[in-house]
Amino acid sequence: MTVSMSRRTFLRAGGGLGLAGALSACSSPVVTSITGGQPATADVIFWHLFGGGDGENMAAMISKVQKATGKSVESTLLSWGNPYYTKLALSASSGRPPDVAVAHLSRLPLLAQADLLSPVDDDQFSAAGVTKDNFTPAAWAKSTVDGRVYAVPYDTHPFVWFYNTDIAEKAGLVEGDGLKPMKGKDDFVAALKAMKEAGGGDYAAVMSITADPSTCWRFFTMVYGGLAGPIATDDGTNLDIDKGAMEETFAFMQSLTGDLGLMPGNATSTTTSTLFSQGEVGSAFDGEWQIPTYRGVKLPNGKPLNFNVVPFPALLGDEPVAYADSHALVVPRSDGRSPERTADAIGFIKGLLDESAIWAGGGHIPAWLEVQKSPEFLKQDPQSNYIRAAFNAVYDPVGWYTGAGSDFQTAVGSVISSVLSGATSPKSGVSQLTSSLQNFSSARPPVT
Amino acid sequence: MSSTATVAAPTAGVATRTTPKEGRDAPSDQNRAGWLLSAPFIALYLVFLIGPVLLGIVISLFNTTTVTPGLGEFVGLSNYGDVLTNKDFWASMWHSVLFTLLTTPLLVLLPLLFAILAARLVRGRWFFRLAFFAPYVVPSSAVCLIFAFMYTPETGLITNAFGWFGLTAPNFLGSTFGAWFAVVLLTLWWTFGFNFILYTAAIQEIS
Repeated sequence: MTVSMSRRTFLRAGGGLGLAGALSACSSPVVTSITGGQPATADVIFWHLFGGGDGENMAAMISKVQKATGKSVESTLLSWGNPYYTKLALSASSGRPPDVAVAHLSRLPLLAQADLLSPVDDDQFSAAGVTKDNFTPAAWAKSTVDGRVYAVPYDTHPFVWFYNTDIAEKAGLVEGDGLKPMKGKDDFVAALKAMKEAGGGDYAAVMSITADPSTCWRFFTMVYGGLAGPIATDDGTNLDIDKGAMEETFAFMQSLTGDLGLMPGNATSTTTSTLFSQGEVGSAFDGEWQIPTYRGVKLPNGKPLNFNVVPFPALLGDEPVAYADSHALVVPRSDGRSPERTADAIGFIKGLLDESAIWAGGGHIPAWLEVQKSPEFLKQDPQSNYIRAAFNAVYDPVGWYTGAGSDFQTAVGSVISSVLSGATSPKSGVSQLTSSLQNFSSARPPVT
Repeated sequence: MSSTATVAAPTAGVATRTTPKEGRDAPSDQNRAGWLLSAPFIALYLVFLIGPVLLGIVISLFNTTTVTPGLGEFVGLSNYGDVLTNKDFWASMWHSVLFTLLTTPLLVLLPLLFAILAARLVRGRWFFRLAFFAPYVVPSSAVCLIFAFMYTPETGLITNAFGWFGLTAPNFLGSTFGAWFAVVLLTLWWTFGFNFILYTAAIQEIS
């Protein structure tokens, strides 16, 4: 044989070198994936679920925090909704979670009760300012599960009322920075009728109903929340439905799309954005995160779309209610995380809170009061109009199956959508929603 | 090295290759090479397909969750009981059957008709063949988005087209009848091309 290296020997040597390289640093992902430790490819490993405008804002905040703290951050964007929470839960239960992750507060109960999160009410967090008095009370309360705090809330994102300022002005509804004070459904309906007349179109308002159970659920929870408490209690295992209140809620909602003819009963999210951005309707009911959708939009006549956003007035009850959720930062439990990494994680969380005025650009209300009261946020328009929605916030009922993007929202929201479209009567809506909810409340909970 | 011997064999003549030793080794060498070459596939197939399927069967007998490690409590066949008594499960089974009943006859007959028509054309045949097949290469997500736009109530193209003739469009995305119509029409437009090509090939006697 010649001394020259054969192809096979070469490949063998190359493979060996590659493997040695992969294994050389004991913190390498290859080793940690086998040993079960945490990969340490950066000082802070961060998971989130924000694409689009929110994703850009998050990237800007991270880069500012990295510069300020001098700690490297590896941020991973995962797909929104159920897949995200499955991944987060599996990473924590298998002992390889990120150092910091984003979670909706509506999704917190299951993660906390399954013991997948480290509480954030210890001395280290308190020293960084993570204490009750520094946050919006409703968000802080929702971060607390069984008496312990498991998440650092950094926003509240409510369901709000978008209105076309030109149409509202023509209808004589504007007062100061917002709409004239209203109390009760009669004032609300009168305002919508005036908008329909002033706008000259077929409808006064639009909301995404068809194929959008989450939006239907948000509107319903807000209206029903004025009359009664959560529809499920005891961690979701007990149904607590006020049938009279629910039927009244459904009847009111259906009247808007039915008899009163104020809203189309079949609009999709595309119909909603098209009708509102073309100035064909005076109002749109949607989450504040749609604000970027309508910024800089031109009407068909070439003039800019002027709009404003306000919280809903009290509708069926005496007090205004805002359906909302919050984004929060959690620290998934990991036995192998060193004290240094924990300190870096806390520094990162504090950094994001301090930069949450950037986050507010996407329409969200900062939960960190220091930023919420800062001139930097207060000058943001229309975000500063609906701060009080964060204080009137009603979240999803506490349960292992509820929360943003959950099957529960899809199932219950479909019934509400069918009531709004006129296909189901309010009375039958109550029984359908009850039976749909029973599927969840009677299922075996994953944690007891 | 045995591979060197095999490569050298032809120069040594036929006699060398038929010695008992070489005769036994060559096929087993080939076998070994075959196994080695298939090994990466077999390993991945076992780890990512067969393994998970078997594990799935095991998990179906336990109350397993994603938030707690381990299999959880053994529940026998009660998960199957839950599924078989679930209204939503039977509704989705029925929807699959109905979908097949609605689309299959259309997808068998219409492409045949159009393939015959296209084959009889003298001029522009290539254009119709291309036009009928083109939708098939569009990714399903793009097809769904385009149709969702067209079916949109109040503002969509199809919905507005009904208005041009003074008709009211059914609620394509929000009513039972409308949704079936919408899904069947979309499926027909999108998958029509594949059957069309099969018939065209048969008409041209490509076997």
